[in-house]
Amino acid sequence: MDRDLRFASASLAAQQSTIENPSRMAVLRIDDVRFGFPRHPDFLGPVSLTVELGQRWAVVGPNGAGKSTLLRLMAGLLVPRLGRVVIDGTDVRGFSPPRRARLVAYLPQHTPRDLASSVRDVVLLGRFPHRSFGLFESAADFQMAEQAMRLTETHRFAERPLTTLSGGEAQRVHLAACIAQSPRVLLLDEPTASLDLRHQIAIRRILFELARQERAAVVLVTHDLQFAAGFATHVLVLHDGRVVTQGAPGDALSPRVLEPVFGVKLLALASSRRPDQPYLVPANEEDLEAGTPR
Amino acid sequence: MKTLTPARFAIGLTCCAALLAALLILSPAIGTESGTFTGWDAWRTRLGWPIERDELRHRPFVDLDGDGRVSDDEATGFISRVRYVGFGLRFSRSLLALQAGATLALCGAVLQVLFRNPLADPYTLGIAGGGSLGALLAIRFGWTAAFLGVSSTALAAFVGGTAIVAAVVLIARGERRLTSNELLLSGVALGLFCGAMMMLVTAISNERVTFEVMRWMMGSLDPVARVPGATMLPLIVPAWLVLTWLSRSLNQYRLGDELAAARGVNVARLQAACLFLTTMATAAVVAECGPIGFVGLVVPQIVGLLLGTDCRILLPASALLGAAFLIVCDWGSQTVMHFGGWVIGRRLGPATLPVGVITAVVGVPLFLVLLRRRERR
Repeated sequence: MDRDLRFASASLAAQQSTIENPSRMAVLRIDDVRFGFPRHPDFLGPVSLTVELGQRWAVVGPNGAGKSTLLRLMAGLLVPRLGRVVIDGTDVRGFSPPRRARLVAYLPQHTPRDLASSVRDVVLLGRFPHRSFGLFESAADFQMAEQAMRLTETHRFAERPLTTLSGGEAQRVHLAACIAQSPRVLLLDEPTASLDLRHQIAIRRILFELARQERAAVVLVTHDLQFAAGFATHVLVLHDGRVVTQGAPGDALSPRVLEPVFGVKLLALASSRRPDQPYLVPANEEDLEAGTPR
Repeated sequence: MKTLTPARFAIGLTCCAALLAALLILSPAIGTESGTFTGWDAWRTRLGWPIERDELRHRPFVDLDGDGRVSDDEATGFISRVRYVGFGLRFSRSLLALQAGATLALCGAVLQVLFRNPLADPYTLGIAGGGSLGALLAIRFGWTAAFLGVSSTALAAFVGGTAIVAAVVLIARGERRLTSNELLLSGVALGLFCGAMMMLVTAISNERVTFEVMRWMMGSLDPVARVPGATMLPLIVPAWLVLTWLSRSLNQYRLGDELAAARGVNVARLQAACLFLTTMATAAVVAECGPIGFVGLVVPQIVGLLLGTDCRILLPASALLGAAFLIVCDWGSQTVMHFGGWVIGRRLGPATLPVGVITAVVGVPLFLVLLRRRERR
């Protein structure tokens, strides 16, 4: 497994530069969306963005910036106060819940680990939106689940109950279920929070692979700027519910943009191999304690 | 537990159904005063198959005049007695136990999934408590009218159960979650409150009503209607069907509200439907049979261990095994005093114990063992 991962992460660099979408197909479009809660009617927005197939988006920003809310709006779990969320050319509100779920998969920040069900059962649950009728999964459903488990390298413990897995393994299982859902848009809320480096790299490899071969768009929310820089083709920076900037990671993840957002002095350490992706580090210890989340 | 395939599903449910069928076939032979005739006798009289006179000679209470021969009258008397006791009493009782047990176990299984808590069941959530109070008031004030085939006792029980569920959900609304322990505890508290109110109503009633109420509160499966459970069938059968039909959505619900919603489940509607149907079905059972506890708590746990926690099999198998469990407990309630008396060599108190006593005596130790198992895992 270690060798696989090292191999995979080495090949990522090569992929990253070559990935540029040939067919420019907007699969998810957000038009001037605003959303609020009774106490904060202007919590989020206006936000506009267009996500195309094969793109990998990272949404970054401080705690409470509205990142998760934006993701839920994209998933159709929240209805915007103003504006539209358009998936595959249709307003989300026009979809029945199962039809929406066939196009969009959403992995929440907190996923259950105390299920007695086996890994395979949990992954098969991802096929739910594709069966409107009948009690049992078809052979095709099983095949999709096997594929998703192989991609996430969870097939080796397919028979084990979820309760016996580590946090990183369980996260990969839930990711596999979302992949088995075979969505056009995959939305992930902090998929790498509380995972160690090895599992972070594994998740990144899976998402790369997915964007490359399955031709889905991936949008994830993260606090990890390094992960965002290494993962995304596009970055959206949110602050207090407003879009600060959106664009290529090299532009969006710069000290100039992020310093006012996080309220921290940042240093950009350019790597000789990847000059377009600087590593951002807090300038000193006091700022780290005063400003950064977590 | 292996992934549920149609074959595993069919085998599991067939085994449960076969067990239940076997119990029903045995049921005419088992009850108070067992041993005067066999199940074979009962089924032969039922199906109209001939019984040899010679065979009857050795049965107790057949050769009444003691002349060593079985006359026509004596044979006819035996057959009509077997018919009445075997089918009019015992088999009907078992059918009632089947309906009540299946409903309570199914409701328990659904509520455990819905509240994501192994302690949830119609009793711990106060649904049965509220239902009991409603039914008790109906009995106390002599509301006897039936409405669209549903007795007013059942309606009053439904109103009471709904009131408790509404109160519990309102208390939980601050958090907007159905899964907290506070919710379960508020259900327990409201159930205890209903218990106190029932004592109050009983205390200020006259002797006749008090007696009637006490008999009902002990839980009884005495069949009163010509069709066993005729008054509750219109309420419980739709609940069985719809709840079992919801099993795939409940599987998603297990993963958490957000994930289920993202997969296309209307979570709020699912919760409302499950609460409404379990309340309705529980109220019907409580009104007909009185409060019978622990079926809904224990049976789904055992089914989960035996057949897995996939709701597609958990719900129907819980219903079948809950029915079997309550039938066996009902036999216990009818025979345990007889056997006890036989062991110590003298006749013991009443012939039939309240079935709630038996379900508690069997259910509580089982439940504690299961709880410890879960802790250790």
